[in-house]
Amino acid sequence: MKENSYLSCNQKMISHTCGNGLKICVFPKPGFRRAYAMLAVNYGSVDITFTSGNEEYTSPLGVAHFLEHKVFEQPDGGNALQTFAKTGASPNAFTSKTMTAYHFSGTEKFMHNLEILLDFVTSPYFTVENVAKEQGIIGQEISMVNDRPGWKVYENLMSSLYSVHPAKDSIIGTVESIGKITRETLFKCYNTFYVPSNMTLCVAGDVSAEKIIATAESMLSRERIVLPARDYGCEPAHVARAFVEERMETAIPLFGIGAKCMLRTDGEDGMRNRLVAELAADVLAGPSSRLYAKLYGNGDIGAEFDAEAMVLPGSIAMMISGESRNPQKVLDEAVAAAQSLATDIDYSYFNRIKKANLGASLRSLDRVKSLCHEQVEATFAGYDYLDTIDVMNEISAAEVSAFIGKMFKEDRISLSVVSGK
Amino acid sequence: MNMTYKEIMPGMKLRVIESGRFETNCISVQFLSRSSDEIATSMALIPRILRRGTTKHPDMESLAAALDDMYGTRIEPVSRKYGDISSAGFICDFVDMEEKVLTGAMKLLGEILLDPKTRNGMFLDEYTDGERVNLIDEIKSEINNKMSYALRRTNECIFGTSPYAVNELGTEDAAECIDNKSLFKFYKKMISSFPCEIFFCGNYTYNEVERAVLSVFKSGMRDKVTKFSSNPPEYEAEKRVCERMDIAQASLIISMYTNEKDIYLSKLLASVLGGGTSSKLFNNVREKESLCYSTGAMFDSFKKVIYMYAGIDPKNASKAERAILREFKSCIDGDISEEEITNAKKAMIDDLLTTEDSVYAMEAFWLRSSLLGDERTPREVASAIKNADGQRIVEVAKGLVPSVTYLLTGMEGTENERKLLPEL
Repeated sequence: MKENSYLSCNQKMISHTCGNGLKICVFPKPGFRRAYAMLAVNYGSVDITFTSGNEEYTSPLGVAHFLEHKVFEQPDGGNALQTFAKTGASPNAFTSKTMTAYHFSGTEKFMHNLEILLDFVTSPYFTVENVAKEQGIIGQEISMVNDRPGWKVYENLMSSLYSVHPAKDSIIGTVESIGKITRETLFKCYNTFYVPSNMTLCVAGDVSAEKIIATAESMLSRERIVLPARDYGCEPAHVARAFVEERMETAIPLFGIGAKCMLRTDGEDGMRNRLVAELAADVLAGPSSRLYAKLYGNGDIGAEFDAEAMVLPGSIAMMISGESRNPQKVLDEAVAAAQSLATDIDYSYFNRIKKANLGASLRSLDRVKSLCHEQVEATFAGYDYLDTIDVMNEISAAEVSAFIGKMFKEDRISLSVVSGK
Repeated sequence: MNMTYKEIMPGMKLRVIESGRFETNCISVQFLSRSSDEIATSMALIPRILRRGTTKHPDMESLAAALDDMYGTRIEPVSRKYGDISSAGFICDFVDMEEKVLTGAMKLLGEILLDPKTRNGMFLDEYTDGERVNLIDEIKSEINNKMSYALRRTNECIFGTSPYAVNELGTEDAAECIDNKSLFKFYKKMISSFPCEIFFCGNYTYNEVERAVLSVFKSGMRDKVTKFSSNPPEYEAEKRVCERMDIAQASLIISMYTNEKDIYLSKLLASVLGGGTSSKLFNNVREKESLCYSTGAMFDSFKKVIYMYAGIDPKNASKAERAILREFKSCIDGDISEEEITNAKKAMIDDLLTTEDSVYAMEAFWLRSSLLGDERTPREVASAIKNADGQRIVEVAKGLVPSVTYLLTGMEGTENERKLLPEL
């Protein structure tokens, strides 16, 4: 167990790696009423093709998300959600492109709730009947998200940016793909990925790190299992499609502008690449950027406007999204702004955005859920989230400028639009 | 945590929670009024226009630079609606790093609130027109989230033309009609005479915050305070409404209203029925019958309405309605176990206690409490819930009056078939 302190903030983190490979991170939060715990598996929707032993396996789309639903069911016929309910804790789970996470927060009986969490995630119970039942529920979830224009903009953008990388496919799968998922599929993927060496437990609250570590050590298998080799294919530098449009029930067209580049996203280099990308997104199109002020001032966009960097294995995508009656004009303005920033960034502009970014990082320490989420992502990539605050300070305008130039090349940009019928 | 709540000027109250637990400090300034289409729309528009520019920082870029320079301080417009009351203003949050930011943040917030960029004694036409378009777009875009849109339509059907029906953004028609001159007059009135709740939570003392606030709001600014009181809600007759759109999933909402005075008992009923993963709706309508992904129940303390909802396959609308009503009937029949009540209480208590872990949750809690005239802390409310007689929710369930059953569904069937409302 080691205690890490950081230069730029008062927050400490206690970390430990168990003999079975499970990583544990604890953020002490003295005086907080609520404690929050997240047990995350380094297994997301992009982990479709992998080699375990000598066998290469490709699963249907949507298995990681399907597992997220099923893991709550218990061999005694019960459901972990009901077990949590007895203490008033709020449990939930989510699946992203790169991880599946189970979490709870509560104000009492934290250690008891932690035991429930560790127990249910490691006690799978899949039957032919409960798999069929879940296909109905997830089928409705697919219908729900497919009616959301914002979701469609995002999904269509990802499938336009990537032609080979499985980030191109929907996290949740399709009605057809989840129809192919069987009990055996679930066990195959569960047994491959739901092993301690592929998981991280992250906790924030007024809690004892020693007790958390002792409980995890005693409850989980001691075996350290070899992880599978994952195959994300060989993604070309150029995008699959430069433009995609879909028509739905919506009043104002929604757009997503995406740009991608293939580069390392793990280890210290990966951390720096991610931070440069995040800063680049803010410098180019963040809430206090010149581009945002110009587009908003001209009435080209509304208040809904966002710029973010999305980190995937071996790739970073930058996404600028919002609502506009003229998405093509927003794209043209964004590309022009990117080209200008790639040539020259004025230092006072860069430094003020960086200063704001540091403030945002400190604010994020008060949000225990996002703090744990960030740390889990960082752990899977091989670094500490709190180190990012110091490293962010070191990033230069030239690095950000070069990154924008690399990313916003003509054949690396896509525009996704959802407009009204 | 120490809390102080004082009237610092006529109709202007300051609530300060001193807490050293957070990196984030939060200041909120909210003006309040009884609502109408025009008032809600004006109160949604004004903060958005004010955020466009001040005399000293006349555009968004110069404002952004000033905010970034204070470590990314944020000053964001908000407009909210509680029953028949509209609330509008700003929420500002900031962190202290090498320098303390409170004075600078409050100064800039004051500048945005009190010294907007004007021309000929009015907001700039281009700012008003731009925000009018944005607001109308925002209202239209509510359609993007089908369940939220269905809830808005349900409320419009329940409350007809009453202020309770208006949502926090107002209406498209009112936004089209409001002219810049009258809007500026309304703004002046809002600042000088509407009741105002100022909230602060963070690493400063009450005296420090009061000093910063009073350096912005000078004496004499607030003379004739407009007092108002909330009128009790009135409900239209029970009805069934079906609307169609080209969508894959239908949204069903069954609403009922109550005369029960203890809002936490009604919340407890909603929690037992559909408050989360241990609720009747989740376990039976979703998990046993596999009818939906999203289902639940919630209670609006101001409207006194309980909403039971589900996102469903359009062909299962009748089946889902029957399944939801079966769960509701089990409450009336007293088929509620002690365990269900205990679990629901624990979930509510947990929610309340965690309010104290977020400056934003505390801001929202105390504004609602002020409007409800309830000065109990989250812990005191939690304690009252713990000691409440849970079986009383059976009486609450029996007293509920059916209101609107609303279905937003797809375009299935022939044109003639679509003219007929489905038999729910």
